[in-house]
Amino acid sequence: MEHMEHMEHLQRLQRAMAGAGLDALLLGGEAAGQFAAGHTRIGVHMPGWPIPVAAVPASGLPHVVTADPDGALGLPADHVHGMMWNPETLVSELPQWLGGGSGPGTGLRIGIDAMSPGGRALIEAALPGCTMVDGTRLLAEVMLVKSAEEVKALGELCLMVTAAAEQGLKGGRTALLRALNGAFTVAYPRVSDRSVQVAIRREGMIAEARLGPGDAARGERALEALRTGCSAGEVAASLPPGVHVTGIGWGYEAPLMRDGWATPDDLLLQPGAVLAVRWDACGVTAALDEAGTRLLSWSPEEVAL
Amino acid sequence: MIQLDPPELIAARKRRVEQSADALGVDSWLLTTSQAVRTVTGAWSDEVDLFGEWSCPIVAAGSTVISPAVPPSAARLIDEVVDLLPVSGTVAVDRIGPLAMARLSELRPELAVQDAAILLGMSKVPREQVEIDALVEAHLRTEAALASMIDLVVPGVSERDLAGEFSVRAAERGLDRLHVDTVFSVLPREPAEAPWARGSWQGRLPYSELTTDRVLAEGDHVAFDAGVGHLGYTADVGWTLHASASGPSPEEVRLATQWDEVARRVIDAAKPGVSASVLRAAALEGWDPSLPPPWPYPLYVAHGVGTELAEPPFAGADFAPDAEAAMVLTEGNVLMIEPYIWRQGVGGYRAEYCAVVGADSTEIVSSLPYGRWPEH
Repeated sequence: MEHMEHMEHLQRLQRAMAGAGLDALLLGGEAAGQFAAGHTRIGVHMPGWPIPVAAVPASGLPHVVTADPDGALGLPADHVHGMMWNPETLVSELPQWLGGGSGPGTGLRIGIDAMSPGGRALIEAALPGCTMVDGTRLLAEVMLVKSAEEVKALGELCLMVTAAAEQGLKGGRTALLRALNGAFTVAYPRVSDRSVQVAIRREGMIAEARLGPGDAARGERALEALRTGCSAGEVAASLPPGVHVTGIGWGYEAPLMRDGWATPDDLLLQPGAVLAVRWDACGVTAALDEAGTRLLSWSPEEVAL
Repeated sequence: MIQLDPPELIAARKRRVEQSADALGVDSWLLTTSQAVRTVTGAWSDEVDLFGEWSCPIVAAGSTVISPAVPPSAARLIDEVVDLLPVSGTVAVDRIGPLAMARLSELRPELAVQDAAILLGMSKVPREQVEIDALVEAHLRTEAALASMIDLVVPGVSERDLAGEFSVRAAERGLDRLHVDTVFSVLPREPAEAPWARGSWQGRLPYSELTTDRVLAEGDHVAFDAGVGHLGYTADVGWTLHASASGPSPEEVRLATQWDEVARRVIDAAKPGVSASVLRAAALEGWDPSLPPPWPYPLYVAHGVGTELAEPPFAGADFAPDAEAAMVLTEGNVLMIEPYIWRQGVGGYRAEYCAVVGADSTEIVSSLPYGRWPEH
């Protein structure tokens, strides 16, 4: 991630933290951690728990936990910390990260995404009087809106993975993997002679392709339901049955909408949101802008085989 | 779609989980990480988004598995599973957000929550032969994919190209669950090539594992490291490849030989009842104390492998001496022994022996000639 891009993310995040009365964020999810801190770690399934990937104080630069210091050259050396296998190591250092030389004080409000109960207890013991609260609602809002450059990059990645999926349809799993050209698969690639479903991470961003049998009209109706200004809950209630929508960008992100419910339910869709829309064996990716919904991948007619 | 591991593997894991639950007084569990769900129930989903597990998570509430489930950050998850949980007693939970935790406390006020890490940790051993066989098979298949790559590691090819081709060759051997972005990363030869060796990394051996679009040059030392899933178990395979048609220099041979000496000291020390701190001490036996330890920071010289890619015992990681001494080997542990040797101006060498702890000794099961450089 470019340094300026990261600083803009951090500023947005810390403004939102101030508005929500949060003194810190501890992020176990790789995507949110990377969004906040701008570092690159080796792609690993299920990283982060119970040790956070990043700790974001109310002001100043974040601290990251990584095995890959070469992916964190944009941060000062004392904000880059080696991977911790022992949660005790984290709690011995965390007060310093969140409070500087004078310590963090007491009564911090700390936003987290999800954590092991044991990890949470250790942190609460290390930061007397702290309160751990949900940080995902705030993250959802801050991460929802992508810049024009980010949407463009996601669009290019969408087209790349869709082209690879097309190769997979023609030539099977080997052809798919070869066309992915070393991109890290972030879900199990599913390949048959009638459908391909694949998701990848490259340059810190996620894209997916789903080509297969399906009802294109249902996909069209789902896209029509994605309206800016509506809450995720309202959109979920108006989606055709069986449609599954998730934010996509630095990872799979909020909102998640399916079966008539959404999380976070009250998140308002805004221009700059990028959403993966799935139904049957099909899927498309769409960006919301002032004019409406713009496809970043193929159309529902093209992905429904 | 929810799928199941082979019944003999599920049965072995379930026996230990149930015994451990009884010993811990755990009445049920709520598991939200796909790895824990698979370990305990044998169930997995090919729809799960493994990088974050947000859009299609898989959850186990007792013996019931749900996919796609609600993410563990949402209170709604508890509404969906509460009827599957006991009213009182103790439930083991691996990962949960504050909103879901509050909802659980609200709907099940008499249910105590215990960190599932305790249950999962206790349930790792003793491992049955059928599981060891699965682990060794995963390892040998991964090594076969790596062996087929050696001739491709030449000047002009990029790290990313190699990672892409490895994914193809692994899949051809029935391995399409890559848990890690496969490492093909050129190792630095000089400190100036490792500007990241600062802060906590300063004074440690410079190492690198991020795969990039860098194009290999003649003589490059290329770190390889792969994490692969197979039947609910994992393989961890590493070696250092040499981008050169000519053989290694005597100094490069010395790197590999020295690596082998350290690794074999660790393996010779490994037996049931011995702790991870003994393995660390074995690695450092005769090692010049003025030099950094012979493994990369912040990793380890040896670790276990099983249902997790890296699991206890950890030797040489960030555990205090008493915690390291408390991680004791048992028969059936499968260990990865992975020192790192680096010398300024020469470069680096790292590989990984896979070894199974038996009743009296530890046996290497790796099929590749580690301690030497791969031959083109």
